[in-house]
Amino acid sequence: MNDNPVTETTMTTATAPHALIEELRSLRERVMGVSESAVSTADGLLVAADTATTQPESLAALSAAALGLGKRTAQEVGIGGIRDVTTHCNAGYAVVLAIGEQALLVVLGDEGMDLAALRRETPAVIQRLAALLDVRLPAAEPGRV
Amino acid sequence: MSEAEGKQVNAVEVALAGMLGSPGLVGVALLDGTTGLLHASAGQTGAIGPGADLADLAALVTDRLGTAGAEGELESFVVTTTHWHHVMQAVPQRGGGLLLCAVLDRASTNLALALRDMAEHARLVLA
Amino acid sequence: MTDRQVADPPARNLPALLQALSAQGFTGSVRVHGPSAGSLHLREGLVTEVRTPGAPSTEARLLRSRRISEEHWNRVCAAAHGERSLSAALLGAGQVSAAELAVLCADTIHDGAFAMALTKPEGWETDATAPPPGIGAVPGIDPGSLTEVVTARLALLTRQWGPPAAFARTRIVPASRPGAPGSRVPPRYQDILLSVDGRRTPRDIAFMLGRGVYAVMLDLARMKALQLLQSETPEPVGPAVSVAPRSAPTATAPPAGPVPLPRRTPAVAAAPTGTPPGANTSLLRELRGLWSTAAPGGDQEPGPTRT
Repeated sequence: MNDNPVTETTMTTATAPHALIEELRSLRERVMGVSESAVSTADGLLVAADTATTQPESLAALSAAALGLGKRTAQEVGIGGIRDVTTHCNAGYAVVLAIGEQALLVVLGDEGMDLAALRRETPAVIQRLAALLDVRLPAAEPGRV
Repeated sequence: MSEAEGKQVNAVEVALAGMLGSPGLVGVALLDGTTGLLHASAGQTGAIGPGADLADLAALVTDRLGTAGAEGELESFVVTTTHWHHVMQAVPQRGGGLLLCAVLDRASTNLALALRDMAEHARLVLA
Repeated sequence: MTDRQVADPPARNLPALLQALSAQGFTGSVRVHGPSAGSLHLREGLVTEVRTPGAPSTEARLLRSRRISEEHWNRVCAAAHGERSLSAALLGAGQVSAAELAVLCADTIHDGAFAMALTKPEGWETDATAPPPGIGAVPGIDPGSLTEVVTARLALLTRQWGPPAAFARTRIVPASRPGAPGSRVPPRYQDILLSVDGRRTPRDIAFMLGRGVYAVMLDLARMKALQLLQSETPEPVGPAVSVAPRSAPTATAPPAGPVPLPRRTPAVAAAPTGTPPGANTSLLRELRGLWSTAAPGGDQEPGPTRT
C-alpha cells in the first residue's frame, strides 16, 4: 500500500483510463448545456475529470461532501434513497449522482442545461462507469429514474 | 396585462414615430445590429432595405475597417444616392447593440444636423 | 386525452401547427420533443415566449450580459408574486425600460425558435392550461412571420458556413495566428474570442456572453472569414464503452481491467508539499469532516485518517 497520498492521487488521475474520460466527454456531447464533469470516490478523491476551468480536486471533494450531506439528510428525514443532489444557481447547475456506495459522478452545466435529457442519459452512464470502476450498483428499482 | 407591460407595445414605435418630425426624415427602422431583425419601423421604410443585409453591411464595414487597422467602434455610416441619404446609426448595448436606420430626403436635409439628431435619437430610443 | 390537452389540430410540421393555433387564437403552451426540444407559449394566437436548452432565455441574457446584476435580479424575483408578473416587477424596478425589454423579448423568441428549428422535432403536445411566461412579449410575435425569419436564418447560415445543425454543435477553436498583423479585432469579436476554448459550441458561447445563438453564429461565420478561428469537428460519439473486463493483462499491456478506486491512507505528514498542486488545502481540510460524519456505515474503510 502506497503511504504517500500525493503520489497515489496524481498517479490515479494521470492513468485514469481513456474509457472513463471518453464516457464523460460523450455525456457532454449528448446533453446540451453540460460543460464539465468528474468522477470521484465517495470520500472526495478525484478519479477522472473532463474539466476546463473548474479545479477538479476541489470539485471532487465538494461533490462528495454534498452527496454525503444529501444521504445523511435523506436518512434523517426518512424520504428513501437518494437520487441526486442538485445545486441550482443563477448561472448553472451542479448535479451529483452516486455510483453505488463508493463513487460518484458530478455534472456541471449552464443555466440552459437540458435537465430532462440529463435524467434520461445518466442511468446508463452510471451503469457504464460502475462497470469501469468495478463498483456494485444496487439492484434497479421499478420507477427509479 | 399591467400598464407597464402595455407600454412595451408602444414604446419603441412611439419613439420612432416621433423622429419623423425631423426635417427630411421619411422613414426609420430599428434593427438588431448583428442579425438585422426588424424591431420597429415608422414612415416610408421601403427604401431602407432588408434588415439582414444592413446588419451584414454594418459588420462588413466594421470588419474591413478593423483589418485596415482602424481603431474604435463603429458609430454611424451614411450611404448617399441621387435622392437619399441612408444613415445607419449604432445604438450600443451590452452584448450586440442595435442599428437605427433612417432614410432622409437629400433635398431637405442638412446631413451634419441630421447625423447629430440621429445620435441623439439613438441615445433615447430605448429610454 | 387528458383534461390538459385540447385536440391538437392536425399538422404535418411545427410551423403548420403554429399557424393553426394562431388561427384559433390559442392561449397556452406547445411542448416540443426531440434533439432540439423546448416550449413555445402563445397568447391569443401570438407567440409570447420560447424556452429551449438550445438558446439563452430573456433572464439568462439579462444576467449574463450584466445588463442587470444578480442582486437586482434576486430582488425582482422576490417582488414578483401573486398578480404581479416578473415583467411588471422588472419594469417596476426601473433598471430596464419597457422598450428595451420589448426588443429583448422579441429577440429571444426568434432566437429560441431558430435553435429549435435546427433539428426536426420528434413530437409535440399542446397544453391550454400552461401558466403564462414570467417575462413574455406583449402582444407577441405572429407565428407566420416567425417561421419566415427562421427559414431565412437557416438559409443564410448554410450559405455562410454550412449545415446549421452541425455548425451549432461545432466546438469552436481560435486560430493559432489570429488575423493579419496590425489589424484590429472589433470588440464584439474580441468578446467571442475570449469565450472560445475549443470545448464550447456556438450555443455555449451564446450563454457565456448573454447573446443570441443565431447572432453568435453569424459573428462566428464572419470571424472565420477573417481567419480568426479554426473549426474543430465535433468528436464522434463512439459506440457504448465495452465493459467486459479483458483477460489478465500482461506486464507490458496498459491497465485493461476496471480502474481501482484511489483510497485514503494515513499520511506520513500533512505537509503542504503532500497536496496535489492547485488543490485548495483549507477547503479539503474543511470538507474532510463532512464526509467522515456523513459516510454510510458498512462498506467503506473508516473515515479519512489524515492528520
